[in-house]
Amino acid sequence: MPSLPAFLFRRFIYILVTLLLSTIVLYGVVATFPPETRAMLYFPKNPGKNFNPNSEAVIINDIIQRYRLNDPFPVQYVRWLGNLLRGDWGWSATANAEVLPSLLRLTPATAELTFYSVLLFIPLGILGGVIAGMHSGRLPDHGFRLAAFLATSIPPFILAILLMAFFYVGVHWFPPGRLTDSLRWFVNSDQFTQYTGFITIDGLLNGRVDITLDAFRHLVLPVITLSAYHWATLGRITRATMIDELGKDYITAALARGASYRRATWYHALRNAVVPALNSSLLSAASLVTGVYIVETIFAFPGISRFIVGALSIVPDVPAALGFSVYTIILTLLFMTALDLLQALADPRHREVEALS
Amino acid sequence: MTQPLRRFFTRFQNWVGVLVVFDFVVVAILGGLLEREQNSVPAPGGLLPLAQQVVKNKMDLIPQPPSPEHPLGTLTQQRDILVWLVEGARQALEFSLKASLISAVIGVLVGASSAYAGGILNGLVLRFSDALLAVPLIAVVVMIRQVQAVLFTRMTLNQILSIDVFLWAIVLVNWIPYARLINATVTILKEAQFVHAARAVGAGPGRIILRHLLPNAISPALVLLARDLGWLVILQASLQFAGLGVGSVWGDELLQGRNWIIGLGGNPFGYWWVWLPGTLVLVLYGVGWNLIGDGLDEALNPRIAKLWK
Repeated sequence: MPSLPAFLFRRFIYILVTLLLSTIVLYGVVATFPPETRAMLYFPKNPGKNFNPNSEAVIINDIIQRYRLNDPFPVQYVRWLGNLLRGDWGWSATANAEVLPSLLRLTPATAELTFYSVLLFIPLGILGGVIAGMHSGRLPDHGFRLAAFLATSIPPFILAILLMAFFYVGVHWFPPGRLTDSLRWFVNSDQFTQYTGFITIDGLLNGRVDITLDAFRHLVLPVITLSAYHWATLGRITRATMIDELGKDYITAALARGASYRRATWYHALRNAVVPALNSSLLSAASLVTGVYIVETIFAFPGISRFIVGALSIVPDVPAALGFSVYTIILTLLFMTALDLLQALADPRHREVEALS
Repeated sequence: MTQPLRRFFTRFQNWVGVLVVFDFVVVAILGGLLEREQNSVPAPGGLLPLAQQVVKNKMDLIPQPPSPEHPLGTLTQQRDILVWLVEGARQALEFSLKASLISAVIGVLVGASSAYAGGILNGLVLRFSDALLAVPLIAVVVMIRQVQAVLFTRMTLNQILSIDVFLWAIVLVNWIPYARLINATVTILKEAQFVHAARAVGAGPGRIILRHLLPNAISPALVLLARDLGWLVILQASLQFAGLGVGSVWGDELLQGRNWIIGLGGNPFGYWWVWLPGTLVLVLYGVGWNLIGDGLDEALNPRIAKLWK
């Protein structure tokens, strides 16, 4: 049986291969255009009054020469990849900023939002699924299935609006955004040290409980919106695997040995059911990122989605789009790795299965 | 096939699902016929698929409540919500059928043939689908939007808008679940006796895959297809609402009514007709397909049906 380091190594190889393949595809999308078309990306936006249409060809030629757009695809790809690795992700015209520093600056907000969502939906999803599976066919089960059905049927943005209508406009409990304006000014000033970038944690470290509470107040609605769908999916799969596991012989054996039904469920069956359940979350990691985009936009949450809004208009901004895409893929991979590690810790067999495939 | 079909129609929920979806189909067809009759002049350049009725006071910005003239009320600039939603039904059906069928066919064919071939080829296809698994849809949309922006310098506006960006973005990531499902089943099935028998009597790989393997492996993909049909429309509407402009008519209706949803004085029911009908329609569409998906799941995979009781 392979050890944990060997497992981590395989994981690392998987990340490398995935990044390589996906960046080839992404860059390939851009590179399918002839150099003349791609040169338009570097074309001056406002050529001015004295612009002579005949000189367009000359300018385009000049651009092609300067950025070496005529090189074969592999050469351009490797050059681009080298720039990525060196941290030069290019300049975004629409955001008027360097790509990588902007993304890095916006990441803590997104990470905080995702972190608390995952912290909410994974335990609650497993808990709901186990309780429903334990009492299958009875009241808790029906209640869970109804809740899961609702959570998957209501579109996230409608849930967001309704939550905002009632809890922000109605009772003023949970405002949108990330922090109250006055506090945001304070947090960005020198008096506040940002240790982790998570405002909820930094507030405590700085001894400002009010800032932590304010940050949580802003997080409640986005976190609920982002978690609902994933909670339901995870819960449903946990429930199905739990029912499957509870019908197996080893549960009967455990019960015969005198273990209580409760212990058989929570100790014996859960250990075997948790891996396929977590695996389903792993497969939907990418959709979590798409969900983050929707939630951040609707709640005016200043995360990485804010960076890409400009590049989504009709103005081409290839560096921003490429950077954002690569960055979201990296985020997804990191998240998948974390979940995978969790699975491997929960069940050593998982490492073996992974090594065999 | 008749037995699962009979089992499917013995359940009450499945009838509800089928009726809901059938309603949408009827509304879409009738709406299309009525609209063609009403305004024989097409929308300018096909730019705005929304039926914009000629009304008395187009500059009136405040949504009006339901009236005999406008059964579901109007939105800003007095656009009729009912007409809008009917138009949305046509768009939703067309989009979801196209997107999910294209990705299902690609996924099933790729998954089945690579599993049948096995070996290195199958390994490559699986690794490639692993890699695509980590690509979020939003990244694909962003990239394809770039392609569109670049095309902008070369094509006319109508040519560009005739490309359904979101459809292809969906297809690019959505064939993977189908391919993986089919792949797993076919890998097991291809060693079965009946496949060896078919090969022994001289059937080629194409015939074995299409006639012998797929009919036995297709049922999980059908369930996924039914759920996708509902989910893709919800996803499209969500992204439309988040400002991505992916062509969802229902999402657009809600987006246009956005400022009126949280009504004046914080009472969301002050302008209920702005968001409630659109929301209900969207939720119903998703629920309808979900019910069909659950029903198919139960009828086609009896082992799981036991779990789902």
